[in-house]
Formats: sequence, C-alpha cells, structure tokens
Amino acid sequence: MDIQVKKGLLDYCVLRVLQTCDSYGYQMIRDLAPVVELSESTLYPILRRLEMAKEVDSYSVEHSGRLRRYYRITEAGQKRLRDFRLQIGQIQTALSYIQGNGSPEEDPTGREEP
Amino acid sequence: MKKETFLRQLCRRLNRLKREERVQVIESFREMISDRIEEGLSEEEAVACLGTPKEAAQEILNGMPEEKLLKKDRLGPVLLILFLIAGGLSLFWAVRIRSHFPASVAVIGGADGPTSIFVAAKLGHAWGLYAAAVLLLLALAVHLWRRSRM
Repeated sequence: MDIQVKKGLLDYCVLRVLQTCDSYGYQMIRDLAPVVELSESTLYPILRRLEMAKEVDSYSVEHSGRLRRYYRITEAGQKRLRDFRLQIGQIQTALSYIQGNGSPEEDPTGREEP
Repeated sequence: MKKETFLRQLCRRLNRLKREERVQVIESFREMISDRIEEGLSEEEAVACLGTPKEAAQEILNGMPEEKLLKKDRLGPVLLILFLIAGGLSLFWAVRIRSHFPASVAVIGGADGPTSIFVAAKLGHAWGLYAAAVLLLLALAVHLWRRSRM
C-alpha cells in the first residue's frame, strides 16, 4: 500500500483494534494481519505516539514469568476514532473519484478533456 | 540469529534515541519475540520475522516523534577543538618556560607564602598556560555535564 496513505490509516487501525479489547503488541499484529500488513518496527512508534497523545495508555500484566504490556484506548482515542468515522464519507468520495477511469461523462468535477 | 544478538544490534543502531526510550523499544521487542516463540516458532524463526536489526532500527527511527530523538550533536566537535587548543597551548608554553625561564621552575618548588606571589608575578608571562588550564577544565566540565544528562 502507498506508504503515506498507509501511515495515515494505521493509527486508526490500531485504535479500532483496541476498541474491541485491550491488547498487546504481537496480538495486535496478528489481529490486524487480514486488514493491513503491519510489522513490529512500524507498530512500536505508532503506539508510542498514540500514548504520548494520551489516546491510548498501557499497563503491564505478568504472563508466564515475564511482563506483557497491554494497551488500552482512552476517551481521547475513542473521540479521535469517532471524528475520523464522520469523515469516511468524504474520503470514500475522493477514493472513487481517483478510482474512476477518467472518461469525461463520469467526471463529477464536470471538466471536459482538453 | 539469536534473540539477544538481535536485541543488542538493534540497541546499538538506535543510538539516536534517548536512552530511556531505547530501553522501552528493546523490552517491547523482547516481548514480541517471546510471544512468537510461545506460539511455536524457534528462536531463530521468531527473530527472522522482525527483519534485520538495521531495517528494524530504520523503521522505528522513521516513525518516532522528533522529541524522542537526541538532538544532532553540535557540541561534540566544539569540545574536541577546545581540547586540542588547550593541549597545544600548554605544550607551547611548557616548551617556552623551559627554555626562557629555567630558574622560575626551580623557584616554584621552594616557594612559600610571600615568595610564591613574587613567582606568580614573574609567571604572569605564562598567561597561555592559565588559559589552557581554564579551557581544559571548562571542556571537562561540559563533557561531564552532558554525560550525566544522557
């Protein structure tokens, strides 16, 4: 996927997966695998940024003799996700415009080909 | 590659990150490798899933917010130059004093209260030596202060 577009979407994918339930690094990668390809090295900075923005927070749970860090979505994170969902209509319009094959009668901007 | 080898190399390549941040990245990667091993992969396979330490470090550094990175080191070279000037100056004056004031060196050894003032006055010629000493101390102080902050 285009790197810039992907970058913008990943935050929301992570917030969305945390909305279902609290989760830890590897589980998020596994859960998101069918949706978007995500590596450890990509996920870590995302979680860190979301944490700094207080959109997620984290806590440690002991698991088979070691600590596992769980992440949880905060109210600010929920709000960011809600706000984004309101914009999905606009994004979809833009996407289908880009996807169109460019013939003038389909062009909603009404421009004729020169 | 073994887990610890991978983590050590990753840590080294993350030297642009602040130290406490680096520790957290390593802990997080340690956890993700263990999770994969728990799922049935061998240690080598689990590590291989993360790519090379170089790629992983690059990706992490690209994604990290600016304030988690160390500032570009501009003071380092300045300190080095300061050290070199101080060293050069003291060498220069040491040679000068030995050739021009061989007696004064002997006097310092035996100087007590009032004489020492007299000697100091004579050694006023050696301002370069004092300057060098001050520069050296200054450079050392800044260096120690910076290390304690890192």
